[in-house]
Amino acid sequence: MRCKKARRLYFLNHDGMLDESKRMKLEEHINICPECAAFVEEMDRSLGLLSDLAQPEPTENFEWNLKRRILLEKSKMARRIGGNYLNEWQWGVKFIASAAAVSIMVLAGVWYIARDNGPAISDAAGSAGTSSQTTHSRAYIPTRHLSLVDLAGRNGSAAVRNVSNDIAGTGGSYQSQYIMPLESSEKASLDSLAWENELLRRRMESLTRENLLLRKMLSEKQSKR
Amino acid sequence: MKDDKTGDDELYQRKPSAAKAEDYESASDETLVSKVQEGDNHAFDILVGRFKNRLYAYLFRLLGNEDEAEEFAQETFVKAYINIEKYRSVARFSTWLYTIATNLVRNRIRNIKRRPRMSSLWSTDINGEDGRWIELKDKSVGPEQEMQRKNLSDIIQAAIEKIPAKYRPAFVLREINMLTYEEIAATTGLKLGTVRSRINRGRMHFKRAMEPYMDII
Repeated sequence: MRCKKARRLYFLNHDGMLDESKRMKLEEHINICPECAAFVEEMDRSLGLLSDLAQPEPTENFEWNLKRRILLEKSKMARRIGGNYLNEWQWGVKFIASAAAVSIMVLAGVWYIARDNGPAISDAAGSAGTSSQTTHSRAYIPTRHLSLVDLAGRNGSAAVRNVSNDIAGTGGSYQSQYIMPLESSEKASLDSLAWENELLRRRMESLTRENLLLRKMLSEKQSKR
Repeated sequence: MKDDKTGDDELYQRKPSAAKAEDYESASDETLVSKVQEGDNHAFDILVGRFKNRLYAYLFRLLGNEDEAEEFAQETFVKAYINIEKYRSVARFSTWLYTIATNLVRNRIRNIKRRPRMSSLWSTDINGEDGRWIELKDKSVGPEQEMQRKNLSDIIQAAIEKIPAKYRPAFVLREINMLTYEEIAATTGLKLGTVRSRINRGRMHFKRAMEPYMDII
């Protein structure tokens, strides 16, 4: 048996894992090999010291300190769990608030658009002029020019609205049949109305000139006869 | 040192009656663990009482420092308590405790290796694996004088600390804590053959470290 194998068998024997036959072979080798005999003796002595070794003990407050640490750890974990729950709750509130804000904005936008393009109020029949709905024309004309002006929209319908004569510069009463939706768009709509009035005024002037021309031609023909 | 222990019962339930206390004392480790999993903290007290000395001794042999050994022992029990739901009866509870403790020490050794060398007395070999504390030996003092200054336990502890870190847990668990090869394999996560090899190498290192003192002892 080689010394290397003998040492391996020694350790197995030390751990009580060697069968009888191999133990006998180990003993035979030790008896004839002085180096292995010295090794076994030194190993037995040094390892033997460990069996009599006094075991160190922890301090008296070990268990009390341990309980304190466990309590600390449990409160840390509880705070961590509570923090996560609170964050979820905050997230939920934020989500609902954002959704509500978006919904309000969408509804406000829809309402504003609907008011701008919506129909005239039906009780406009009592006013000085007639009114009908157009989808896009917002012109106002003085009541005395109603017969001359065709504000046909794309659908060909006549849309006549009464307008404050002050806006058109002709004087008169304000008989608007539209309720101005919002202050912020009032100026824009007034500007638009004023411009349309100006266009109509120019149209009326040209028609008036045509009218005068035709009358002149008619009178000339009558005089020639 | 804290003497006021009035907070103990606040942390745990009231202690059971004497008859029930006997049941606890005679219950197996695994039975007590089941009770802890059901919320019985007194069962955990019993487990701590059973294992604290062995665990502390194991950690002291590994680390060589009393304060650190106590710190790590407490940390081991805290981790065991917090993760008690994860324990399965496949392995013994003591094996599970030793596994937690060994991993804590292993992580600590890993952190020490990352520190700058000039502030560390932790030496490693060329591969950076075998680590041991460098002992600043007073060469003017011979073994006899050293024996007079220190007692045998200190000499033995110093010899254990000279065993490379790779072999020390297996050596201590076998020679001091008397665990079986299978339990050591479960604790360290090593194969049986590797466990056997590391224990034997640890023994060789220990014998070599004790040689100067064997004639005197």
